Amino acid sequence: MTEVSIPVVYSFPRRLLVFGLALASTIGATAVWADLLSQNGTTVFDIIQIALFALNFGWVSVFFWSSIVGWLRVIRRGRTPGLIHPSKLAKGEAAPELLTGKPVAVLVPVYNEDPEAVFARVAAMYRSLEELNNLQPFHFFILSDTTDADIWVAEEIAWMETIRQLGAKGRIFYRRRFKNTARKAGNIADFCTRWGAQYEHMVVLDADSLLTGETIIQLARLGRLNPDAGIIQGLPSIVGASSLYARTQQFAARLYGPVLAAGINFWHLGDGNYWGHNAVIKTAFFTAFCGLPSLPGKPPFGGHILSHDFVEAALIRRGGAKVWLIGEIEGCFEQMPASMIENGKRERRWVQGNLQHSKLLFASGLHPLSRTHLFMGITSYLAPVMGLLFLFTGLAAATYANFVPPDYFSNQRALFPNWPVFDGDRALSLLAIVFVMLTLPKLLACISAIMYERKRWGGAIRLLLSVIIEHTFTILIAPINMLIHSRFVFDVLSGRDSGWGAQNRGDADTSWSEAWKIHRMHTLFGILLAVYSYYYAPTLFGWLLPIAIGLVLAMPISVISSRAKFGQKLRRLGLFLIPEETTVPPVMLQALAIESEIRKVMPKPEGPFGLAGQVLDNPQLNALHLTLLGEESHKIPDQDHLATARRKLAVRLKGVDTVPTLSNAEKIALLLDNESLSQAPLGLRPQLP
Amino acid sequence: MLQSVSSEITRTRMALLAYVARYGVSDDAARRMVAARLWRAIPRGLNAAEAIAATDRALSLWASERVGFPISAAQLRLAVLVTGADATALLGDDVAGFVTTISPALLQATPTETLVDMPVQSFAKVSLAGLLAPAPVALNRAA
Repeated sequence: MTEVSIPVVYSFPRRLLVFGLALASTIGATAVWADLLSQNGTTVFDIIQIALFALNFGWVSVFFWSSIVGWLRVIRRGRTPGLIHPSKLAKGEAAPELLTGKPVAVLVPVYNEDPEAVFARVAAMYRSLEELNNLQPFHFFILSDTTDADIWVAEEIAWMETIRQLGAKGRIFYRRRFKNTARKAGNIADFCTRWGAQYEHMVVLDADSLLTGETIIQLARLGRLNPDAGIIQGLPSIVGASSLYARTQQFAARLYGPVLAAGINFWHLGDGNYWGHNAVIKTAFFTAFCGLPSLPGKPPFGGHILSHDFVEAALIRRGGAKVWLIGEIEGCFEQMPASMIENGKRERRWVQGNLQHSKLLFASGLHPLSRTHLFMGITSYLAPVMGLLFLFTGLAAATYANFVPPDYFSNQRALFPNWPVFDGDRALSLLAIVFVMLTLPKLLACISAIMYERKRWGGAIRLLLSVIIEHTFTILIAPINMLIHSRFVFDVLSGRDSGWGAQNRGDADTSWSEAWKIHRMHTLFGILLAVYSYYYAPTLFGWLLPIAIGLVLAMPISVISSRAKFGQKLRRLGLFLIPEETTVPPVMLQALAIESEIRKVMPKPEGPFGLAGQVLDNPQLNALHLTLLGEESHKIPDQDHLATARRKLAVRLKGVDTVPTLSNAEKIALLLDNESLSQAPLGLRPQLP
Repeated sequence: MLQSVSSEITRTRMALLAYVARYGVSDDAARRMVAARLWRAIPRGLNAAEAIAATDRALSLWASERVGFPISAAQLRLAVLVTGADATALLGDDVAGFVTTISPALLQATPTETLVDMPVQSFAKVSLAGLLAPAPVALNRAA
């Protein structure tokens, strides 16, 4: 093991540089905007507009300057400073840092996910580690919070099949919680309190995460080499996208993500943030500092903390441990929803989770940068509302100017009348600056990709063309997202809870009827905006046209962009290609192959009892389920549902043709009932509770 | 009364035969033999459901003693089914060989627990002046 001393990296000058530049840009641009608006006198609308402009421009500026410094690091191929980085391993060499000490736990929390895909990814990661001769230090845990009875049974079967295929007994563990208190945060906390003491570090993944063996080893080694690091977060890349929408997001995240990550890492350093998965965490720190309380009050602001990751980062930092984001780590893959509507469902939870953080902004002892992360999270979801307000105040001001005649002759003596003026050139210049700030980071990322790895992106021309199309598409969908997010913020502020739905990460074509249901108001808004500005605020009509076009076309954009066939057509043309598509990582191929193997042995949830019926009928499944139920067998199922389930089971035992169907709650009660599961297969009728 | 006792015994015997069948013993004679052996291993006077529960307990104890760590009857049954081991070996002399055959298939869903406390953190609010206070260094708490 080659240990190097860590060069001291001062965070203050870095933060001063980025925020200083952002502040200076914001002040300059806001001054120009204020000057433009006040040329014909200042109304209340103008003052509101200036304030909103400053906030929005400030937000864009921070990300612009972060991207610029990030790009400079990316082109220099720099590594995150302030950390000890592991040395390169020879082929087949066991990582020296992991040879001693406690093993590393790889955690995969799941909640009603596709079991075949989840376990295939686990198996692929396992094999990848095995091929690198570094399997020994790792244990995998599939931590299930699944509430769907059929998926629960399927997870058990997939677990056994994975163990069988890999010979991984005692290395891949499976646990389903009886009660999924506090959702994912509670799931991880449950692991920490029961098994965490046996593991110095845990690599926390998401249900759709797929990491190469090299990446898992690198994360674990980074954890070991940097004992004061509480969390080291890798940068996830989106893969496996089919639809046009998902492919544009996948392309953008893969191309621009590393630049932005390097930029924010430039000023975050060890005071960074956590995104909830694809990170290595020091278990003892997490257990000591990250026990989350339930917030006072009712959801959406009270109750369990939804977006727990930011808060955990803040708490572990409060405890004195460092939190790092390492943008240069490759090989962390995940998926994303295929359509705007599916993505919106996920965003709804994130909006609620981030707005809930407003209760924690003033929590005692938090590091100022942790407060900044919480604040930026909140404002990222308030930005669309501010954008909408900006739009409305602009319209109001223009309408006012249209209806209230200008005061040509003031009381002061003058040779000439006061003609209303609008400095169109300066306004255009300002618009151009905003456009450059939004576009330049993308172009710079494109340039660095062309410089270093253009073939991996399908060639320079196709890459540039993809950036242009992606940027145009982003401009088109931006106003739709603005309305969707504004609605979400309104929902949260009016007290509506998002609940906890499972994510649909596979292909999900949006139907026209679904698009009509979700987007009809967006289209109507777009039409009204265009018509209103044309008649009542004609000076703004041209400026608002791009927004109106995006909104009017909301339905076709949403439907077409959700279709896999369009995405695949563009892929065949070499557009939106990412390096993981031009050279598919072996771990991804392996995951797909294993998934099809597991699918072959998975039974289908047929009949009135679904897979619970198979647990009753198939001796091996019955034994497997009762084995895994072990710890849960003392849990008491819901008595009402159990009574109904046993009554229906009694009918089933009679062998009649029409067996009543079990509801999901009844299946769960039955699957928790050791007595029924042990006796019914022997022809014994369980007593009613 | 006698009739109901007799029918309960019949039910228990039938259940035990089904129980043995679920260990993969398909031959009728072997199934009867193993069921009779199990019947003798459990207390008298139990109804069918109690007899099955008692059989589970007896087998679990028996297997746990053989393998050296606690296992459940379901675990044992799964191991027998997965390995295809002949459950009639339970009656034979080569119990050690039987245990060796099934041991690799004795699945462990989770490791043994080592319970630790995860203290719930406080979010007590601070004054505006305290907002910029540096984070306390408390790593020793978790060391």
